[in-house]
Amino acid sequence: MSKYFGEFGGQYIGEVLKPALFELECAVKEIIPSEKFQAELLKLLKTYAGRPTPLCFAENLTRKLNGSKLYIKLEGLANTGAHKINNALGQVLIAKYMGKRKVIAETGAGQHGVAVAASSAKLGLECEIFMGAIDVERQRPNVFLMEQYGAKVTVVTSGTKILKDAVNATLKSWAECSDTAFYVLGSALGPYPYPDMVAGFQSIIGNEIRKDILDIEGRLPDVLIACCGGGSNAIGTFKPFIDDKVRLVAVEAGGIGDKPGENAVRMSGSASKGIVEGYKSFFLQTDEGQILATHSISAGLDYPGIGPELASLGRSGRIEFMKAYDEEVLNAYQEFAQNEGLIFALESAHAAAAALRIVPQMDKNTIAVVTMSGRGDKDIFITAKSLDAENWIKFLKSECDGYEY
Amino acid sequence: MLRIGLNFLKVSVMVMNTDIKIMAHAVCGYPDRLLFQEVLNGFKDGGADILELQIPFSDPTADGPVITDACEGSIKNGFRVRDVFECIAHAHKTGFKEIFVMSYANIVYVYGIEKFVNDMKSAGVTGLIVPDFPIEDDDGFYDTCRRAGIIAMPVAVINMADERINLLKQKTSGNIYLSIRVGITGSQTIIDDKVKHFISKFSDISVYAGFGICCNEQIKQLEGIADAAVVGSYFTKIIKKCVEDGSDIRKTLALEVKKLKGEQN
Repeated sequence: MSKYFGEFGGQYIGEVLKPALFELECAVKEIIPSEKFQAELLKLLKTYAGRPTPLCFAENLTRKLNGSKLYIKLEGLANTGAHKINNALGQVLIAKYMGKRKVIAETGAGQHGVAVAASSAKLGLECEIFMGAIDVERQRPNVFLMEQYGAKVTVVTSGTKILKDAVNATLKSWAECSDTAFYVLGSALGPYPYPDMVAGFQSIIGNEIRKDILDIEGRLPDVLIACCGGGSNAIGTFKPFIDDKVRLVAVEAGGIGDKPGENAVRMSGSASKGIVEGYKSFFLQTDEGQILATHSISAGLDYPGIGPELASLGRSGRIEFMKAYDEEVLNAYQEFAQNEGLIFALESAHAAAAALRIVPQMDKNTIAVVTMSGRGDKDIFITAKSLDAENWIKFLKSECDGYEY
Repeated sequence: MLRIGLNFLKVSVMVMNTDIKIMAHAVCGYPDRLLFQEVLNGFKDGGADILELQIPFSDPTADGPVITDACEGSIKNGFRVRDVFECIAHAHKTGFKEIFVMSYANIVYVYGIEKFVNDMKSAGVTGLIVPDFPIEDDDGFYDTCRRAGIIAMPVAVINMADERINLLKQKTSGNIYLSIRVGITGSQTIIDDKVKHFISKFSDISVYAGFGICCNEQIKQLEGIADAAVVGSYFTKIIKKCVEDGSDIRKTLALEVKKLKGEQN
């Protein structure tokens, strides 16, 4: 378990949460390595989450782009539609082993919330999800799903009313109920031991890629591409390849432009070092340390901070950071749908957009793997509005007409 | 040396006067730049002894909704971190001798820890409270304060393990901020014998006890075991109400401080 990644990470948290984090640290060290836990988690991942997820050869795009061979890691095929389930199941299972009766969690787009709600239902724990009011508005379908899984969704109306405010609210709630509740953090960030624990659960993505590509191609890929908000699918994809000669590309949300507030670009943008929400990393903030509002077409990347391990690996140059603008993201979404029959989540479509740029520049005998961290069904209210507004609005109106108030 | 000196001072103060002090908390620049001065005037008129000035931060993880909203409001009104010095100057002018500045770590870190500590010392601040600089991850904050000769006040929390209490005591320069309820600021705290017993573990240093203090009864309970009672959310809530219904902030707060001190019904 690492507490620091270079100068980043740490446990910058008030005394009130120290005992809960210490309890978690002890539990993590004791429970995770145990054979019983590993066997139970593996069984859940296999029979419930649908792992291993396929590594799919993108034959049509490979031909069209005329560069490296392109493979897609289909995390979107995991139960609940994204990689989030890998971490949610792991942490909720730890909570159960620790004897906690309730889990609490924050969510942005709702994917982590849905994964935690589902895992809690499966493992028989009570569940409360904190979600920013703006996210609740734009991700109503996920709110509905969480409630169907039996979770209580608490709307956060403070601050900017998005993911970071949901994190703050969850931390506050945890301060009050850490005796009985476990905080399931959704990304590889926050105070120690969360970053390393989450990266550990998500490394299953990279481990499976490694195994499959060796089976299929007999060698490692030349480049791995993943989208990056907090960065759990990115670190999960990259971590097993850190010591190999593989180019690692993380793609941030370029949003609608380069000005402050128009994007969520940390590493390839103007973020600076800070200490927020329990960890030291790069944050989009004013020169006085006030956290800035961010924008992205994908709620999951709309976050001002980045996991400390990624910050460190980005700083050292081991991981390369790029950005993709909202418009390119929608284009990539359509390219992969039409050529490969895959609807990417808008978050993952950032990685797809970078792949469309990178693959044609590479030699034919090279191999690229892009992680589709989630599938895009959940985004239909955003994608349909952006790509086919007229028909979509017509549909929504006729739907509304069908309801009686 | 400093520790012994302070303890000695504390003992002599206790002998002369068993009255507990009131540390009044205010979010800098709230409700706005001018009315903030009325807040300080009101505290002074009412007889508050110590002042805690909080620098507004966009992500105040340890605060409840009342103070979170006040921070947000102040930032929206254009509060800049450097404006804290204007607030401190006004506090001096108002007559406060003991002034603590509370900030989240990010503001201090981005400002530059050493520069922040030195500038606060130059501004005549008594001490600093940074709840998310725990003693293990403080980036040198405690040592910097010690070198500069300014109090760094750690935040202890009720039912903390004895080992942890001892660790915190080693880091203090004789003062501790004690949160007497687990959780976040803003709702009432019951001070029973268990709470009192816990507070008594800090009898060798100066205790500033707070979290959920809103009436004279609670403050009476703290008398003799704490040096000061910290009142935060309660005042901020009153300020908000004054703004909403247009009542006089200075007069209202003065009256509230007196009520807390048991000097007025």
